[in-house]
Amino acid sequence: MNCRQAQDLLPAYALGALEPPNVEAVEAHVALCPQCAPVAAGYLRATAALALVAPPTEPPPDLRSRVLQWAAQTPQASPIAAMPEAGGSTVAPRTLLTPWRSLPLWAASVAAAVSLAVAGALLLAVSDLRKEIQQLREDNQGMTETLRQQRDLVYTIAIPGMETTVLRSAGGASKARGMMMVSKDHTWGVVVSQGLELKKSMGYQLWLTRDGQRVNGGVLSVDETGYGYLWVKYPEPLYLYSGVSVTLEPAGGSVWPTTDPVLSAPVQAQ
Amino acid sequence: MSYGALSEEQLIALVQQGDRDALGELYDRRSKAVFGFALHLLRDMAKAEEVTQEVFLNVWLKARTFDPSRGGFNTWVMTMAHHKAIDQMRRIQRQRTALEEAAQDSLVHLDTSSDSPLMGAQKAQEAETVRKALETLPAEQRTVITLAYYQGLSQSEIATRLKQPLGTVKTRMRLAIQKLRVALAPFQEPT
Ligand SMILES: [Zn+2]
Repeated sequence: MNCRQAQDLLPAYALGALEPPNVEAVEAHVALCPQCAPVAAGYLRATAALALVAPPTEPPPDLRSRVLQWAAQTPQASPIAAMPEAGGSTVAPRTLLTPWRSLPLWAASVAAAVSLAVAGALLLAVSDLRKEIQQLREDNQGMTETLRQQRDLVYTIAIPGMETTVLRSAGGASKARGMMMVSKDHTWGVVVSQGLELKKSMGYQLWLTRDGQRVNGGVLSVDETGYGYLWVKYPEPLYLYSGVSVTLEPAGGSVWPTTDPVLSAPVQAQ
Repeated sequence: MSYGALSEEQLIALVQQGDRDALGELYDRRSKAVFGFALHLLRDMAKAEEVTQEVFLNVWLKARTFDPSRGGFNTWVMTMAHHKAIDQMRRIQRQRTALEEAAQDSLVHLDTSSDSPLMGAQKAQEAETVRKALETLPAEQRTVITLAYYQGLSQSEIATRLKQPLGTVKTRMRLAIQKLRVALAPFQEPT
């Protein structure tokens, strides 16, 4: 599909009046076309405003808790697997696929192979996890969250083209280490760590270094066993940064680092 | 953290990190609009509830695919609500064979709910502005918007129903949407 064809179909697309095969073709084009994307966004904003004719109405009171409870049990889709769509396709809660099942078959087999390859590196984290799961039996909420992270992680590993970088403790001062997986397009990634000592009211924060400045990458969730996890969406593609590091900061994170890095790694320039 | 002070873009960024309280806050802000809109289109509480549920489950599930350059959070949510509601409408329409009379209803649809007690003054004014914007469109353009957006007909179904060539329907849609873009600009999220 070229721009002329796409723009011919965009009004009907924004009005929801396009037949399915065309919807997919338009979305695929718009996702990659810098000319058509703003036109589509403008049309969609206009049609979303048409919804204002309806009076806002309170939904049934228990719906909120059902939605949140479902969310607690469901891992979020990765951006690469759920390729572009303007809120189109139907994913009914009843028929929700797990990330594994929503992967194409070839990806699942790549996943199996890649999982074997990284199994060694993750072995420690996994044995930590076993202990941890024991402890968490009573704490259902916490366990659900850990499982969510694990599934997320396995899912991330399964994506072809993920790059892996090892984070080491600065100067080999501690046993702490970490692993950073970065998407092919360098826009998001997952950081896992082990051996970080959990300290009260403190947290481990990820920093991205660029031109000597360090910007916030988020705070890892670390448990008693030292296993840490963070899903990161990089403000700019990762290759624009020169390195990443992790520092101990007050819980919730700091505006800039206040302690020396406990983990760090350079970023490969592209 | 106080979520009340955060913008929807900040909240969706938290949802991307797996923050369910942020999802709750987005639900509190937008569920009434989504449910109200679905109810308006479907006239069925249970189906409107189903649509609302699917929309917010998708906000969670697909948070990481959300791209603000494609129209902002509200646009994303209302577009999902619209798609899911018309999916339902089409399902219902497939079950009924004789729905042709509905076409005659099309414009009644727009002015039924002007004075709901649940509607705040500002919301009522927004609804009024949208209705006015639709009224300023030439009748043939208003009809294609109504059949497509509020009744869930596809462009070829509209062509068949109006006995017009598909190209004519497309032109009317384009002209209408371009005018609405201007008329409804005050309600649209910034890029
Ligand atoms: Zn294009």
